[in-house]
Amino acid sequence: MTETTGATDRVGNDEFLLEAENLRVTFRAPGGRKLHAVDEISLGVRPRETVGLVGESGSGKSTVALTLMRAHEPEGGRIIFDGQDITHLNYKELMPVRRRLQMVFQDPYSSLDPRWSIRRVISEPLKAHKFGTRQQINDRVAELLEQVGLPADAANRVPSQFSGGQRQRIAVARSLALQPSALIADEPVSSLDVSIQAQIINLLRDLQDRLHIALLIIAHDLALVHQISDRIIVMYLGEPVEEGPSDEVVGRPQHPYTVALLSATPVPEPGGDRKRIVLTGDPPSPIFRPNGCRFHPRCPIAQDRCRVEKPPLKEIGPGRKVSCWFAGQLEAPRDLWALKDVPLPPGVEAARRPSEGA
Amino acid sequence: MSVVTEGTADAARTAASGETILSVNDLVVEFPRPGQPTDFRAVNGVSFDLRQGETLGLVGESGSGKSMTALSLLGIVPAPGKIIEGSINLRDRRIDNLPVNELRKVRGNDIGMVFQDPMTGLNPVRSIGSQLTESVLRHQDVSKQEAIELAFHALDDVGIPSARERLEGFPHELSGGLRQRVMIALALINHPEVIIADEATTALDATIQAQILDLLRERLSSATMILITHDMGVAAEICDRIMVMYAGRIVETGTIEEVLTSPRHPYTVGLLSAVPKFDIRRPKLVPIPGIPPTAEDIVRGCPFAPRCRFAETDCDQRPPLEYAEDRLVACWHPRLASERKK
Repeated sequence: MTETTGATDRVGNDEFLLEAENLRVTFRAPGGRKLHAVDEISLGVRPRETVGLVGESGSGKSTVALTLMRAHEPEGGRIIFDGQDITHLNYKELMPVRRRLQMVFQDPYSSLDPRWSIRRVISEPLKAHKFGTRQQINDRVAELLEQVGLPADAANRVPSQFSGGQRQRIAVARSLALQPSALIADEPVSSLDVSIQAQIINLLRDLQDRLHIALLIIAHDLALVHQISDRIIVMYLGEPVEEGPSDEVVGRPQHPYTVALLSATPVPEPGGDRKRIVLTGDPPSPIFRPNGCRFHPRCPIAQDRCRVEKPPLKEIGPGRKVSCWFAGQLEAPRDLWALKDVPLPPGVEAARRPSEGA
Repeated sequence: MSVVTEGTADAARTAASGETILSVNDLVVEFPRPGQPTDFRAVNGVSFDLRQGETLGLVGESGSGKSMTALSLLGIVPAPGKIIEGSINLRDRRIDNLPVNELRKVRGNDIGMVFQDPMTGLNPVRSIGSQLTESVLRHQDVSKQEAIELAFHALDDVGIPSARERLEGFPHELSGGLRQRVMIALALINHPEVIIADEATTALDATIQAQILDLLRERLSSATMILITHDMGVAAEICDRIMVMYAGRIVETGTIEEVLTSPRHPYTVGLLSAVPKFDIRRPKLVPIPGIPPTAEDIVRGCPFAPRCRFAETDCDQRPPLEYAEDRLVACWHPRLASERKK
C-alpha cells in the first residue's frame, strides 16, 4: 500500500498522519510486577479520517492516547507523526509536533483552570507557541469561540460560569487554537448529559469537515463511536481484538468480545425478543493476564486451543483485522439494529468459515 | 401548586393491574437559595403511583429531580433541602412525616435502596458479612447464626461466587460489578416491598452493566421497583413504564413501548433523537439546543420552552400533566400521533 515518496527520511506508512507501531506500555505494579497496559497495538489515522478506539475501563485505550501524546513513555514500538518518528523526541523537539497534535480530555471540570479567564485558557497554547501580538491572539480567541458556538464575551468569564457542555466547547476551542492537523479526544462526551453529548459530537464532526482534522476518538460507547468514526478498533486488556470500517465492525462483528459489547450496549428501542450475550465475570487484571487468548476466560465460544495459544491479529479483509481462532462464529444479535443490509465483504466471508486447523 | 391532576394515577392503572404499593402526591422538595427571594424547587409537584410487580423508570438528566424524588421516598433528602408539600404513602400508611426511628424501619424493611456508587453505599472498613447481618438483625427477629446464613444466601442469590468466603471480605476486594451485586443483596435481604435503584449500573462498564441488568431482570422480575436512570436505553431494557422528568417535573409518562415509539413531549422526542443508535445510515444526531435550567434560574411557565422547537407564546404558562391522546404529557403542544401523519 505504501508508495515511496521523494522524501527519503520519512518513516512509517505514508497514508497515515498519526501512527502507532506495535506500541507497548507497561507500568510497575506493587511487588515488582509488570502491569501490561497496552500490548502491541498498531493504529493509523489518515488526514480527515476519524478512528474510534473502543474498550472498557482498563482496556488501555486512554493509555494509548496519552502515550501518543508522549505523556507516557512506551516500553516498545514507535509513534510516528507525519512521517517523523516522535517516540524519543525531547521536550524541545516535540514543540512543533505538539502544535499540530492536540488533545481534548474527558472531564472539562478538571481540564480547565478554575481561576483562569477563558481568554487565558484558550490563548495559553497560542502564547506558548509565540502566535503573535496580543491583538492577534485576542482576535484568534474570538474566532475560536465563534467556531465552537460560544458568545464572544465568554472570553472574559471563568470556567465556573459555564455548564459542562460549554466547558467542553472551551476545551475544544483550546485544542484548535494552533490549527492542529490531528486531534485526540479521550471520552470527550462521557461526562456530559445526554442532550448535551449530541451537541459536542456534532461540533466535532462539523469542525472536522471544515478543518480537515484527523481525529482519534477514544470512548467506551460503541454506538457513539460508530456514529462518528470511519474505522473502529476494539481493545480488550491492552490489545486490539478487532478492527475495520465502522459499519462492518458493528454490522458484522467477528470477535466474540465485539459481539458481546454490541449486545451489551443498551439502545432505546422497544425490546422485542432481543437475543443477548452476557459475558460472565470481570475483565482479568492486566498484571495477571490469562494465557492463550486474553479473552478466553469470559468467551462464550472458547475451546482448548484458546486456552493455550494466543490468536494473532489477522487480516481478514481490506482494513479488517481480528484476533480470534473462531472469528465470526458467535452470531451477533443482529435483529437489533438497522444493519441487515451491510454487504458481507469477501474477506469477512472467508473468515466466517472455521479457520483452517480449527 | 397542585396543577398535576389526579390523572397520573389513572394512567398508571392502564399499564398493569397490580394494587398500588406506593403513592406520591404533589411532592415538592425545596432547597434555599441564599440571596434570592424564592427557594429552588428540585422536585416540583410530582405525583405517581407504583403498583405491585411493576418496574417504573424515572428518566431524566442531571438536575431533573429524579434522584431527589427517590431520596424523598426514603426520607433522606440532604439538608438544607426538605419536603415542603405533598405526601408519600406506602400502602395506607403515610411515610413522609414519620419520626426518624419509624423511618429507619421503613428503610430496608419496606423500601430497599441500591445506590449508584457501591463504594459510598457500603462501609469500607467493615466486612461484607457484618454489613449484611447488621441489616438482618435490625429488621428481622433471628439469631446471629441465622443472620449469617441469610447473608450467605443473599450473596449467593445475586450470583457472587464463593459467597461463603466473601462474607469475611471487604468491599475494596471486589470489582465494581461484584460490589454492585453486594449492594443489591443488601437492598434485598429483608425482602422489602419496594426497591429503588438509583443509577445502579451507571458507573459500570457495558458488559458488567449487562450482567447487572440481567440480574435485576431475573432476580427482580416480580419485584416492585423504581429504576432511576439518565439512560433511556437502560430504561428500555427493564422498565414496564417510564416517567420522564425535566426541571423537577414529570413531563411525560407512559409504557416504555409507548414512550419509545411515539414520544409526545418535545423533550422526550429530543432526548431520543440525541442518542446514537446503531444505524448504518448514521443520521446526524439532533441535539437539544441550550442547557437545562440550573438551580439559580427562576423558571416560569414551561421549563423546557427556552429549548423547545415547538414553543409558542402560551408556553409562558406552566402546562399541567394531562392526557394527550393516550398519554400523560405536560405540554401545550404535544406531538400527537394524529398530527404526525399529516
